[in-house]
Amino acid sequence: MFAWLQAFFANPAILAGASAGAIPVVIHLLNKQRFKKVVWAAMHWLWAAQKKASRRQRIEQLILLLIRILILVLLAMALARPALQEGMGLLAGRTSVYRVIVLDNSYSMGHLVGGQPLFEKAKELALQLVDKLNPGDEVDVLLVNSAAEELTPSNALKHDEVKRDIKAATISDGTTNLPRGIAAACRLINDRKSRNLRKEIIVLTDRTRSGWETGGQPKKLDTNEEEQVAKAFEDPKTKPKIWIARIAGGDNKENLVAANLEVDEKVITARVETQLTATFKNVGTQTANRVPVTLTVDGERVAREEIPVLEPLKPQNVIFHHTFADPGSHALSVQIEPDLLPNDNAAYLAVDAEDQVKVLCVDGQQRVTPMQSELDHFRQALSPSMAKEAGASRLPLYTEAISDGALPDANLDNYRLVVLGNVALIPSEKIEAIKQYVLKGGSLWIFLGDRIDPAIYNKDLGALLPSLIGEAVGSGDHEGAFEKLSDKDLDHPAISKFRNIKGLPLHELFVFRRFKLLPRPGEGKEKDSVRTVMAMENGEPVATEMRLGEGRVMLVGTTADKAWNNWAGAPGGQWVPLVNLIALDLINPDYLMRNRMVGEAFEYKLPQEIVSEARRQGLRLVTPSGEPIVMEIGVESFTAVSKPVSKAGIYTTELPGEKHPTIHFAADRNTEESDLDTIDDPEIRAYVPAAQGAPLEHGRFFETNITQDDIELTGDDYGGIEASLKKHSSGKEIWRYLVMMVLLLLVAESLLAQRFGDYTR
Amino acid sequence: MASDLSKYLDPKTLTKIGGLDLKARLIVEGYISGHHKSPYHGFSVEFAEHREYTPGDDLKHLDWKVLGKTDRYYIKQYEEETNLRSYILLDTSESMKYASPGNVSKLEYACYIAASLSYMLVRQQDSVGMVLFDNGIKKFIPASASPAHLRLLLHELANVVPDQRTDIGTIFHDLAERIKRKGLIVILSDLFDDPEKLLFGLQHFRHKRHEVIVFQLLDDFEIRFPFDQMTLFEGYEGWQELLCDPRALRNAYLNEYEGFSERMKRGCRNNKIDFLPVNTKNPLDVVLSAYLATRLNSKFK
Repeated sequence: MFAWLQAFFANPAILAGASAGAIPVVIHLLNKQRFKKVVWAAMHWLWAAQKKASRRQRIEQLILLLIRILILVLLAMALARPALQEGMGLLAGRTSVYRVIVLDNSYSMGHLVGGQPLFEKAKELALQLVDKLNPGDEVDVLLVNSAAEELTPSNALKHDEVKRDIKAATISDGTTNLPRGIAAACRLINDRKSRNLRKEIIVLTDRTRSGWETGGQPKKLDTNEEEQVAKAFEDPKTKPKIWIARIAGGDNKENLVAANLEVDEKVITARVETQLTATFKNVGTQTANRVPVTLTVDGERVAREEIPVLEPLKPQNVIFHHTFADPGSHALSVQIEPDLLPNDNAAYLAVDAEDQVKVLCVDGQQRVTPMQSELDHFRQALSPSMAKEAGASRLPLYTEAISDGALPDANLDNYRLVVLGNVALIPSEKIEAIKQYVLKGGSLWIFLGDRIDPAIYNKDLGALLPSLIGEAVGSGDHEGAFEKLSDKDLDHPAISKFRNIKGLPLHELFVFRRFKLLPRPGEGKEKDSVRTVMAMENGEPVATEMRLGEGRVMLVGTTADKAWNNWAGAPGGQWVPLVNLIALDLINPDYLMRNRMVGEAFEYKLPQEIVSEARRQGLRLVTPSGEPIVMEIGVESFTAVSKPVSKAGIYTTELPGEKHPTIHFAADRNTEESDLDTIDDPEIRAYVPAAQGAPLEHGRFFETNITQDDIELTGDDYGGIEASLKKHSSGKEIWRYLVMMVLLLLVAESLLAQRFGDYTR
Repeated sequence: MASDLSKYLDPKTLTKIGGLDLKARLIVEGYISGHHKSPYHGFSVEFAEHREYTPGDDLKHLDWKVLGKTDRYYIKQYEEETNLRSYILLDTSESMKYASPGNVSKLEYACYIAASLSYMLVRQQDSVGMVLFDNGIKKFIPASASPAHLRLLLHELANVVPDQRTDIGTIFHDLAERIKRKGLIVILSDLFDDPEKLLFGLQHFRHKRHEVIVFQLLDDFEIRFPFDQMTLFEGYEGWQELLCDPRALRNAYLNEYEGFSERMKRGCRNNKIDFLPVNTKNPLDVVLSAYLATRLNSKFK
């Protein structure tokens, strides 16, 4: 009975107020009980009047009584907000609707079914859902991938514009977070104050599992999103209803993915062969044989390989070799053969091939005599002539040496790496300059030695040091006691290759004297990023490294020359590869910032000399589809930043000036979306409680009071969706008509009461 | 007795009436000299009849011979006694007791009029008699013009006790037979009776060639019926009580009143009877003055 009432009334409880209709009857009866007595003489006239009037009077009183009862009953009904249901014949009607269509445009929607992407089918459904709206209805469309974007802001009533924008909508290369899309729809609903509009959230998605789950757990929302959902579903009377329509992708879930492309060495040298590793995956269920894959550099296909067997869920690496003829920016991509989901068949990479990477060596003990200065052995190890010893065909690093006295005048921005070798004193203003250099992405390598006063270093350079410098241990006597470097702790990427290099054991490197490196005080990102690069056999670190801003700092507790160790003269020749590997690891090539995932923003550190020109002309990024995006250049920084990008592929920008040609950027996709496995109805329901507060075994989509009753799961035929929408339509609200009837009855009551002689009312 | 006089003879009322002498419309036997035209051209001393003595009669008219023979008190009546002979017929039925809040009862009001008229008539040397009635004749005081008679009338007025139903029609027939000589009949009543019977009785007076003036005394509430809440009406004169919503009955009641009033007016006009509805809320003197002015006008027509 109550459910029946709920179907007709928004606030059925208020119907109890209709009992107020008894008030006029009660008043009538009370009046009969409460009377005054009058002794009256002209009774013969009164009785005569009574006999004539009594019948008419009774009818008149009955009419007035009925009108008064009707007024109160209709008023209670109006407050209960009744609605006529659709399909009630002549009385059929609808209340205004606010419909938010959440359109999944993650790249899995590019899955081809019958030669047409699922996204096109979803768009057709969206167009039909807009088409069927009445003129007064409102509609918003959200494109949801890793972010939710409102398609046609503030045009909810202009259905034609919304349809035009739906037709123009394109698929993104992002992944999906559909709970986030629903939260964004809730935000739109919360922003819309009207309580009279029926609210519908219709999610059109292929229901790939990755859109709802991460690692078997529901995707999480941030606090703000949770609040929006909670607010929208706060009031049971005005809360929206969610329809999740499954755009079926067919039975063929086979999909091959170009998952990743990376270079083995961060610093790429022009005219030297570079090794590239591409990763391919098979996320289907059947093994693929003889799969051709290709490498494209700067738009030209340069290599073709074949993967003999690509088994499901077993990523395969393919090694490519390529020599960049010219220094500068290059665009790379690998492709796998086309399949039903073409969007994930390529992976992209933007790199810079370097001609020279400049290293500044600040020598604390510069001597005229060869190999007597503090950093002579270090410079020698990095010199191009040592390429063979370093295991490379050509070394890009180029060193410049200055004495510590010349440090104040040096322009650090010209160098990728600054090495301090046993530098006793650094002027305080230069310390700040070094700090800024590191924060902006430069690298600093500090060797200690006999000229170092730990107290002064800790005090002056404290913020720059990955570790505090403790007491010196060891005599420094090459004939006396020594410590060996540990062979076991080779986790740091800079030296991890020593695991694989046979014949170059680190334990042959001895230390005769070193400063102890103690944990840095304080907290924060810097402290958390401190890692040990090399340790002694007793476990004490002898080299530590940390991130500082965009750059990195490495501290070695012993000398760069042979004074306190035997490294430079180690019998196995470990010195040259050690220095080169660490130096190349420390250096942050610019292009790393130019390789991003879809949904992230590109950053580019502009060369100082073109900043003003770039500010004047503006810097434009051209997307893979040829559309320009403006990059914002910070007021104080030299970094240009784009908005988050939605398409995978190679982006380019032209720098001003002749010397600075095209710079490439690459956006790659998160391949979790490539798995076309879908989440079915019971699994979705399992993330939504059946009743408020009911516990769920595997967690829930929303930490709010949404229940299974609030969600309808449908297929992708429009008829089915429309039938489900109609089923939950609350019809046309008619309270306005009831209020008008009440007003009319009030007027009628006044007139009739006047006419019936009740003028003293 | 002095207090009785002062009770009814309101000086303000009498002053105003004094300015407008009563002038009969019809030619009546016996006028006060200089004022009334008389068909008998002077005083007559012709014996007319005997009638039983009534307290207040002048002893000089007592027929001593009859007293001597029969030991009964009879008054000799002469033609010359009769100037204007008036009878005031006062309804003392229970319904005349009604008074709306703050108002005088209809009976009191009627007594004021009766007293005023009596005083005025006696002062003009006209004789005035009085009949108190309800469903029967309670008191019949023959007409006389002496000041002592006036005091008797006023005394009777002061001691009226209403307690019975009305049966005016029947009483009018009785009185019409009883009052032999034609004169002025002043009726003071709320006329709560069947209008046909009333008119029939009045016609009887006219048949006896009396001039008839009917004062219908009604309380303001009886005319307007202004009640606005559920009321239990308890009736006088044995009427059954009635609980009703007066607002719903008002129109029907007023229709009844107006119907009655109209019937009486029409009936009286046809019989050349002066019918004067009086709202007891209105000042007494205004009512009397209006009446006298009407009579004066009609005389000169």
